[in-house]
Amino acid sequence: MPKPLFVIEDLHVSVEGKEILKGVNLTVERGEVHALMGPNGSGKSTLAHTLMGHPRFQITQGRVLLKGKDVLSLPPDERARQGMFLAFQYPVEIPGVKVRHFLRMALKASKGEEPSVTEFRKQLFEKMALLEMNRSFSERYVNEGFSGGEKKRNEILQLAMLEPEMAVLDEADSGLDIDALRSVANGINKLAGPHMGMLLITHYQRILNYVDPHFVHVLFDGRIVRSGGMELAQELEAKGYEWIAGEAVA
Amino acid sequence: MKQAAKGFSRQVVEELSSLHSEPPWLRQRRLEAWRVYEATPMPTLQDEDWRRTDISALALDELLPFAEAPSPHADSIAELPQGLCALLDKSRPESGLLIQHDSQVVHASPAEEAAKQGVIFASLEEAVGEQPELVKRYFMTRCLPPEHSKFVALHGAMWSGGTFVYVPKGVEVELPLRACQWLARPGLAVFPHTLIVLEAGSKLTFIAEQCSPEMDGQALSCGATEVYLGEGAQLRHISVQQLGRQVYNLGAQRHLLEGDSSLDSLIIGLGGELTKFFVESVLEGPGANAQMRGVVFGGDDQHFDHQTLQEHIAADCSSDLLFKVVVKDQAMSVHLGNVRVHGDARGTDAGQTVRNLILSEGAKAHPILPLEIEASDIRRCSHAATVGQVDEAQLFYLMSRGLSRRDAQKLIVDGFFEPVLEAIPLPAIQHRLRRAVDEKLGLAMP
Amino acid sequence: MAKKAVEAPQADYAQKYGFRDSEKPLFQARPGLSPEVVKEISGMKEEPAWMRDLRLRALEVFRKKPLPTWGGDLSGINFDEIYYYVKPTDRQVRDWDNVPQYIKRTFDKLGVPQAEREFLAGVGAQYDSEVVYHNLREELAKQGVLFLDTDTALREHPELFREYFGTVVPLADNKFAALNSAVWSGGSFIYVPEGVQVDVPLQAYFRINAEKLGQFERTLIIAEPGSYLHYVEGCTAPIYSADSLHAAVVEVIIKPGARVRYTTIQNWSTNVYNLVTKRAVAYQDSIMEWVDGNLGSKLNMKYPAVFLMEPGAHGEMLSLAFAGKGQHQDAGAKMVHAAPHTSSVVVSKSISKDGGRSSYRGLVKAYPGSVGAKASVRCDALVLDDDSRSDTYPYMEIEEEQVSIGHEATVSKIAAEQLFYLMSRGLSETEAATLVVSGFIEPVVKELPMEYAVELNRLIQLQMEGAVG
Repeated sequence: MPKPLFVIEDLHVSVEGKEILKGVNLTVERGEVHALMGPNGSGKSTLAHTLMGHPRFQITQGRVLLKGKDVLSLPPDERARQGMFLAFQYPVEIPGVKVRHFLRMALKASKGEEPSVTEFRKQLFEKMALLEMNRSFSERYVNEGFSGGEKKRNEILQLAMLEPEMAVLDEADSGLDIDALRSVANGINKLAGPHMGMLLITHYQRILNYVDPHFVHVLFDGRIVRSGGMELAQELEAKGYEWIAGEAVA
Repeated sequence: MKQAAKGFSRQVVEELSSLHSEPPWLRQRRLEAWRVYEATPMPTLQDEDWRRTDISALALDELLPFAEAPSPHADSIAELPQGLCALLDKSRPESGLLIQHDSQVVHASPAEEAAKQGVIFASLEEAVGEQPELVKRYFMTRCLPPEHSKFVALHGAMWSGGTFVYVPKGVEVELPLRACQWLARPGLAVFPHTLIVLEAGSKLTFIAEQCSPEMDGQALSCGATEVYLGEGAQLRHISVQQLGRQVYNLGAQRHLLEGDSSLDSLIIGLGGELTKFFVESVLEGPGANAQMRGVVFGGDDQHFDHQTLQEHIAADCSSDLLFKVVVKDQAMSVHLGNVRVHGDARGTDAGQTVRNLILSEGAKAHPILPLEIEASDIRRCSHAATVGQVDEAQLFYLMSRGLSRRDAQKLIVDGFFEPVLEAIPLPAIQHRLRRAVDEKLGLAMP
Repeated sequence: MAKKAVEAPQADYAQKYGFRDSEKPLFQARPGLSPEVVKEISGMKEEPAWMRDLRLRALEVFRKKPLPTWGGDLSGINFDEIYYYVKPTDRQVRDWDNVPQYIKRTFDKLGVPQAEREFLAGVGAQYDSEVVYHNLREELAKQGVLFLDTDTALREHPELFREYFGTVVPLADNKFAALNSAVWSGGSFIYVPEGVQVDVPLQAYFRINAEKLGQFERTLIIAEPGSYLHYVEGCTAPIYSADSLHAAVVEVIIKPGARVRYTTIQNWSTNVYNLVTKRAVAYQDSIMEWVDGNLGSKLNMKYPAVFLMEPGAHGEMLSLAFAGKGQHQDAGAKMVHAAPHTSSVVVSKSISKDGGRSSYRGLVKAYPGSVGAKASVRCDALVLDDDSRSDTYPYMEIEEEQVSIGHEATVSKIAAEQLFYLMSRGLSETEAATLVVSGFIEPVVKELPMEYAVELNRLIQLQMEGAVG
């Protein structure tokens, strides 16, 4: 039997001695889109950062397997090279570094070889066209002076260029107006496919009006307390997180 | 005098003057500068301007004040030493190129188009003979008199070679003029002088390079650059310092700006053992504008000390300074950045920012930015200094895209410098500087 | 609104603080400085030999050190004309009714006994060279808190005293610290035992009365682990044509986990040179906060320091300076990071008016090994007219890579648009300007105990009248 693409197994994570994740279990296969929903403070961002290897989070228990291999001891760049990707909720600015230059370096790092200049340009402009982005965007410095929507689209552009096997999108919809939200969601739909597993982390249900996940999970107080399909998201939308909170206490 | 005896003295001053067959007024200026030099105490760590920069290891008495270039006249670039040739990418035309090798100007390719418009671009020694009135009026008088500081005085007494640029009223010089100073002889002290006069409404880009190969033995580069910007004149002034590791660099550069003139200056400091460099803009006429940028990268045990001045004398002027500094290994960078606003300088807009990145344990950054304001009716006056290491959040972001820690750090440092390097009009120099930065970084990381 | 034409920036200083008593002091040393004068002071105080010897050594250092050439102009001080010791009374009391009438009148006018009744846990009052009144609430005394004048502390707690005296500011630290060490008299001595929280402020009030007086109080504060203290000092003097000199030394020791806040409202008359050395050493996870309001004096040179000696120590400085006519405020802060994960914050606000000059002069130093140190310095200056001047001299000496240090400063005038906006809502120009100034200093004022905040705002308001024409 082939190994599953991505498995989170009994993951416990602490920040400065306080336990945030208290045993998370989740499996994502190729071609699947999973939505992970949860209220503020449930541990969503902790999970996203931990999966990518942010040094601030201490793993006290559990495993994260990518293609059967535990990645928890790997630094973030090694995880990226193994096929993981994180779209950040708050992408940082890298002053003086052009998007184009940065993408080329990232491609070289993750694929091991540098694409030729013409090939790279062709690929870049294709993806930008796919995401309906203006070409001049690639001449700007990474995230510097970007609007909220531009930052999120820049994350999606990187997702498109780097073609990871497992993508985690942390609050890809936060802070966007309706047009920007639609454009980001379109990008996600175009990029999702049989070769990739996707974990969409979100507070609100609204992005799910545009992206159809195969599975919906609810994270509450550091654990996944409910799993289901789209109907779960709709129920959440109707009843709010208090409904889950009530159940979790009971 | 092919080569003077070691050390500096009044006798050397007179010999130099005779060697160049100078007119009496110029000999007199040299002697006056020597008098000021002797009357000025040698800077020590007790002087406020020199508190963080120790030049006691510089053996002044062991230095030669003058040495003829090995080949005094190079008609074509090919006749120049190899290391010097490598600097001069000729793929892009400049409108003029002047080369000083050690104490002498060895090559001056004329700025033909510009010469037709009356632009003068020549060695300063030549200009003394051909434009005595201009030189007499501007040379070390109002801009950088010997009283400026100890080493400007020494320069005034010992100068050789040098560059003279004169742009007549209203003339816009399209292509950059470039002057390259090549110091190749250990034990030598060079004193190149640059005098630039822009008449009203003229426009120029000037690139000055100070370079030398790696040498065994101390050497001194003690240059002085004087710039006069007439009303409405515009100057882009780029100074690249890539001296060899044993060279002491004690220099001064001062710009006097008349009304509505504008200066865009860029200082690039990469080489040398120890640098103490004065960079001064004096806004004398209303509406003048000075942009002063700088990039400094210190490695090993290099020491950089840039002392900048934005002096607002007239009303409604603006000045903005941005220096970006990276230090690694045991290197140290001092930035003494003065902003002085006189009582009549109403409507002043002055800004100053010095950013320091410390890459390794043992490296030091001392930014000191005094702000002296005597006027109240100002638009803005602000300064900011930061010191830090490469930001962890930026590193994590780049590493999450597959870059190694080392590559991520390199990318961040490159990005730190890029906006400044990008602005250099000659791509060849851009490439050379990027390479130099990368080389320095390469040594940094295991 | 009718504008009052105000000559002096310290507008009502003369009525409110500038009065003087003409009563003869009990004892007055002859003017000028000599080993004999120093011995005389020490003898009158019946001090142990070690203190007398220390004073004499300090006098030597004072004589050898040159006057600083930076900062303000010190050439106007005539050290030979100053009275270094003036003793107003021969006893110190714990009841205001027992204070000599003329002295009590002074402190009544200044509102000190009233403040004590209303919101203080203890008060010391120094008049010229000696502390004349001292009292501490009973319950604090029972918990082992010591709040004494420094001379009494030397007599009654010699061992504690000797363990800490001069350890933070050594006698040879600088010329004026040496002078203080030679002729010190009075000041506060505070000891807070482990874990004790002094929730209500202790206050000392320093009053210069005699002409050409040198006041040299010496303050020593020891906060044992986990304790808390807020100490407040105020100072005023009559207006004389001849200059007076105030050169205090303050030493603060903050043990692990303790927190000390030290608030100063300096409002000397404009004939006083105020040359003060204030320094704290902060140990593990402790907090030192200086709140420094400088309104008075002719020349003020004061740069309170925090030496952050152990991990987790934190230093803060909130500084406010107002330089009016004939005044030079040269004030700042020194933050020295000597251990990992130490942090410091400096916020300085200065205002110059009527030809006054205000300067911020500060140092942030990070020694090698101060990994994770964080420091931020923020200086803002308002210049209210063309004759006035503002300078900023920030020094940074960073010798550690893993740090985050930032400095920012702005100098501005009141924007015409701000005035216009406020005036369009019906405020007079003076009211509008005052409002802008109040907003400008708000970040500092809000850290003051309420009573002082009100007083400070009142003073600023007075100084602002006639500010814009």
